[in-house]
Amino acid sequence: MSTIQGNPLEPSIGDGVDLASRKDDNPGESQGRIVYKRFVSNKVAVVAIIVYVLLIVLSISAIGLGPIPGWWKYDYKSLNSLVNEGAPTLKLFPFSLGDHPFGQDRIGKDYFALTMRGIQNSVLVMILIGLVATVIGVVVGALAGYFRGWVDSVLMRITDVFIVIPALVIGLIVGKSAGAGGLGAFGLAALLGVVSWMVIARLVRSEFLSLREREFVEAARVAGASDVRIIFRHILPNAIGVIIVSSTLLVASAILLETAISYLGFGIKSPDSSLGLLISGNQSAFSTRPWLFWWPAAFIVILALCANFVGDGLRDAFDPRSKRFSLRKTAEPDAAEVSTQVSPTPPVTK
Amino acid sequence: MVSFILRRILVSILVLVAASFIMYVLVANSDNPLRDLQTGNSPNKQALIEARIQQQHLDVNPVLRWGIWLGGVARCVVPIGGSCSLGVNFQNQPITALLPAAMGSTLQLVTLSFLLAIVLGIALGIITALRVYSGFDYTITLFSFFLFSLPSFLMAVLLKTFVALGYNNFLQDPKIPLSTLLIAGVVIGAIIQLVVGGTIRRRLLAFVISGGATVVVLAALSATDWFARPALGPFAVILFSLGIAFAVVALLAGLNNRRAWITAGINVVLAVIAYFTLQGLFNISTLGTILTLAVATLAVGLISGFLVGGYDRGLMMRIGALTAVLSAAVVLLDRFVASWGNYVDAVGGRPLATVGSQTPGLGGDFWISGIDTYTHLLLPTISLLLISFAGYTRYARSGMLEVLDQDYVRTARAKGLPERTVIVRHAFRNMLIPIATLVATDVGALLGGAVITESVFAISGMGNLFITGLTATDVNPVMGYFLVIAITAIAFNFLADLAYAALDPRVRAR
Repeated sequence: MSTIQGNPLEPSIGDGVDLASRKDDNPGESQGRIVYKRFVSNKVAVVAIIVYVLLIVLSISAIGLGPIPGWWKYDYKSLNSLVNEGAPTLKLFPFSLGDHPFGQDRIGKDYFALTMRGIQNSVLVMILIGLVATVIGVVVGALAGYFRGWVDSVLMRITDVFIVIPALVIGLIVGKSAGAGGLGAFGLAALLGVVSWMVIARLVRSEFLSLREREFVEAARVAGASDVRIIFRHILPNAIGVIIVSSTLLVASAILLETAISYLGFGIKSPDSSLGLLISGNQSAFSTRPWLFWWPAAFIVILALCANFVGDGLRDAFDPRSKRFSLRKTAEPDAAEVSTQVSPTPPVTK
Repeated sequence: MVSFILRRILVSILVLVAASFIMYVLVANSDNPLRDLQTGNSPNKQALIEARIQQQHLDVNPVLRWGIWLGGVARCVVPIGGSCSLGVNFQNQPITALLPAAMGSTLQLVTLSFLLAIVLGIALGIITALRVYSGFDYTITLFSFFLFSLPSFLMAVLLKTFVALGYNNFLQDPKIPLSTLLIAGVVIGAIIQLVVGGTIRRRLLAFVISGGATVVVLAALSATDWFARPALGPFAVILFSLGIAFAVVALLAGLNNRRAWITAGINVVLAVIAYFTLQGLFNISTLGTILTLAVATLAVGLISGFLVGGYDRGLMMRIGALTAVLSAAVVLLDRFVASWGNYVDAVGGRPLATVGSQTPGLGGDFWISGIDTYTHLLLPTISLLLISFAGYTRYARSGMLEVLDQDYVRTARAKGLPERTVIVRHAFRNMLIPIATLVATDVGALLGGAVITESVFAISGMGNLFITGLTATDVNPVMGYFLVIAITAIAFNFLADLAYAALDPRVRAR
């Protein structure tokens, strides 16, 4: 009830007037196929996914990964002599990168390499938080929802305990531990994942609570399937929509968490680079060298925006209700007036 | 019901204790608390280390240390055997002495942005739901996605740089150039035509009227040097109060309800009378006087509504109270604006502050210090507000769309109720039910987010207490912070459950 549905950024679903020929009503298609088609028809989400992948490819190919070198001539640690007082040399017309396309920071490090490294780290943190939190959340939620009773009580009270502590606060503490232990970006991301699973656990639990009462679960149990098999082979595939959507949205908030922690000095530390760290290190130079601020800021917003758009697109693709709102638009000729008014024609419900 | 409440409180306390254990152990093990002393080169290094170990019981295992800490907290709740203690920080200041000031500072910041985010977010969400799939809806949706993706520290830094510095620089020479004037007109006109919607003709008309009005008003204000010496004056107060009365009546009762007009009119007249008679009292006012006047205003509004009465007495009382409070706020605003010039002179012509929560060493009466507080709070409040505002807009929009789809809304329309009644009395109230849960979960996030905002704006509130404590691995201030945050979050969740039961008769507490 309280989920956000009906993505108005999605123009294509419901544009066809002939309802019978709607692609996703084709009974011969599998659930996955329908969801895929609905997602692909959402232009914004598709563009977001492409941009996201391109950014990952750019950041990895530019400065390489670990020992593998990239195509960019500088790395993010080496100090270079200042060219043109560190101003960006990027030119769009005619396009040329120049020596330091994003400029240089105060001590001469190449800002393009620093930013690319920051993107690498932020993406790593996003994905790792998403993976770890999803696995823990799904296991906790599935056990609580499937077994109910005291298992449910205990697991949900544990969830309550963690949810009392705000995400940023526990993130900062975990970040401090990771920093003191010298764990680096990888360890930080894994630890942050360990403290971010609560929302997913609650959603998965409520999904399991309703799915376990369905006939197909009953049938599996009568056929002699074990609890593990019922959970993972029968119920989990049916709960996959909730899981994918909530972990995508978690990924979107994960980059904000990581950059905030690094900004406050408890996350990734110099000489390694993070988008939040770059902003906190250079915000005092805003008036003299604004590019030191704008590049990381722009990439944070782009990454987070992409994840949010993809999450929203997935939610619409998985949510059968999102069609309802669009359908009314086609059934309601006079959408300029209060367009949610119930149309005089019989409502098309499924 | 009583057993439900008691059970909830008991469970809440257990959750709180368990969470405090996790916090304590995590923070205590996050780093070496003696690091600053061990790496320092003070001559009496060994003695200092010994002293800190004694002071913080560092020789005890963190789990047992948590027990000691919990014992101190328990004595705050049950005052038997020893005094209330939340421990001391490394500088040997008791946390119980540090917390109140920090809490006050943070509470000021969070309360205002919390309330504004709810009111503005829900209002905007409803408007987008009523204009669903319009240009306005798309714009707001895009905007809220953008806000969702904007880290709050980024927002804070941007506000500091552009709004504060920009406005202060503008005040040095408060003349708006013609080009800016036209751009402002076009932007306002474009926004208004999006909100109004409808046919091209109607939109164009809205665009021309609102854009033109913006240009004329701004040009007049700029020409009369209003930005340097702002004032409202009696004319503006009367105009604003009438506008408020109109809006309240139009929204709550409909324009052809005579009794509603009478109620609102009485309160506007009373506000204007108060404006002319109370100025002398205002000059010697303190916070206490203003609070007393606020309570009196509310009472007058309710009583006037009660006396006008009619078949819908409750509605009249709401209209009376709302009109009275809002027009009294205009009177108060007028008095604040009157002190603005003096304040700007007192702070050297740069009124919008970017750090701290007050100007040090600033004298002056209630009005000057009030303005000082608000100029310091303005930017942190906006940066906190915009983050949770986006969430409320989205939820209110989807909630409203869902409610408008219900059968009882169709019934209400079918029996011929005006659209205003359908929206305000049938749909709006039911939409509020799921929002109650959101508000509760949002409180925790907002208090957490205050850590960042306080850090960017250098406000010495709870967030600052937490960050300094965590940096030094000083557990007690961190735990003091945690106690306040966690109790607030739990209390709001509890209130949300009660509100749920009160708002929705289908929900019965067991």
